[in-house]
Amino acid sequence: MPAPNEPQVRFKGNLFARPDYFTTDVMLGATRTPSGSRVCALTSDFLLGFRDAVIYECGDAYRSVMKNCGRRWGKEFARRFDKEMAGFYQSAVKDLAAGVVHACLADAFAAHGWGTLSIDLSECEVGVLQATISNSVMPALVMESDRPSDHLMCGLLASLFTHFSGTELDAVQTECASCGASASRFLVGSPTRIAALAEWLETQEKSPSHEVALNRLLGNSPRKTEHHHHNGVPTTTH
Amino acid sequence: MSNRLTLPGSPTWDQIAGQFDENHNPLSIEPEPHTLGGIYAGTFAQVIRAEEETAPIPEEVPAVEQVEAPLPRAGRVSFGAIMAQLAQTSTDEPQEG
Repeated sequence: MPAPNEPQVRFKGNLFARPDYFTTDVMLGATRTPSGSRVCALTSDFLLGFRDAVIYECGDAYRSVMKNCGRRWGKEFARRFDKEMAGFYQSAVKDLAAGVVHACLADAFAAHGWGTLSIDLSECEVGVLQATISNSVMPALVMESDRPSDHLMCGLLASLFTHFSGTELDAVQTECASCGASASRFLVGSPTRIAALAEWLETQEKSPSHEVALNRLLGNSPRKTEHHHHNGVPTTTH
Repeated sequence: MSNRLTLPGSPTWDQIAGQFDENHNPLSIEPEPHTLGGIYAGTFAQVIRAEEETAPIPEEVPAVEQVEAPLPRAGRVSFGAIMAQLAQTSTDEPQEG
């Protein structure tokens, strides 16, 4: 039985797998979700062309431009996700069980074609959230790169968890499929710590692994408690 | 005289409109490889068939279901509580030096 302060766990199926989740009005030429939000699909050619154009226009600054695009995108997505989940579950997202939100976020990513999302909340008590996206869009398009190329998703995740936590957070990509890793991996935390880590990662000749980056980030975090992992969510022992 | 542009070999506007019902749903999709519209229709038909074969769409969204077993205790912690913890620990920056 859940403790009184724990939310009741209930799954209502996969909202994003509903046959009518994306509804296209062919007369208006508009595709909308059940909440009325208009969505549009971007082709691979568009995304690659957009990336090339930003590189041409901005040079090395293209990474931060792409990340800011992801932030804007993530801000809108977080708002929509919040609204749709609240309508579906008749409960604010913050009041839902972490496992349910995790599953729904993964469902949303998969339904939109953004890859398979997995989040690890086990380090949240020391201010770090980890995310992994398999089959992410940009690395699959860029194919090969000496630096991580998932800037859009990096910005999206920063905005997503900024929205849910209510405090400004930033994200950095530690591993990327375009650099030979199996998936895109990210660390989300305070902007100061993430900026310091990003700066350190830039100076490394060979990209450190996600674990090395995580340990460096945690090196500045005094652990107040020990905790054990259970399916990506923390169990704290005091 | 119609001012609609009809390419040689492509179906007329009336022929296209006749393929949809009053709700703008296609009545039938029959590939006609000799026309541009036919090529598109054939492609869509193939995509629809492939999707039907590989990923059947559920008839309806499952009803509300209480699930207790699959989630460990930690997964039942409120998402808001974890995010609040993240926010709190993210603003407590370590002191320099």
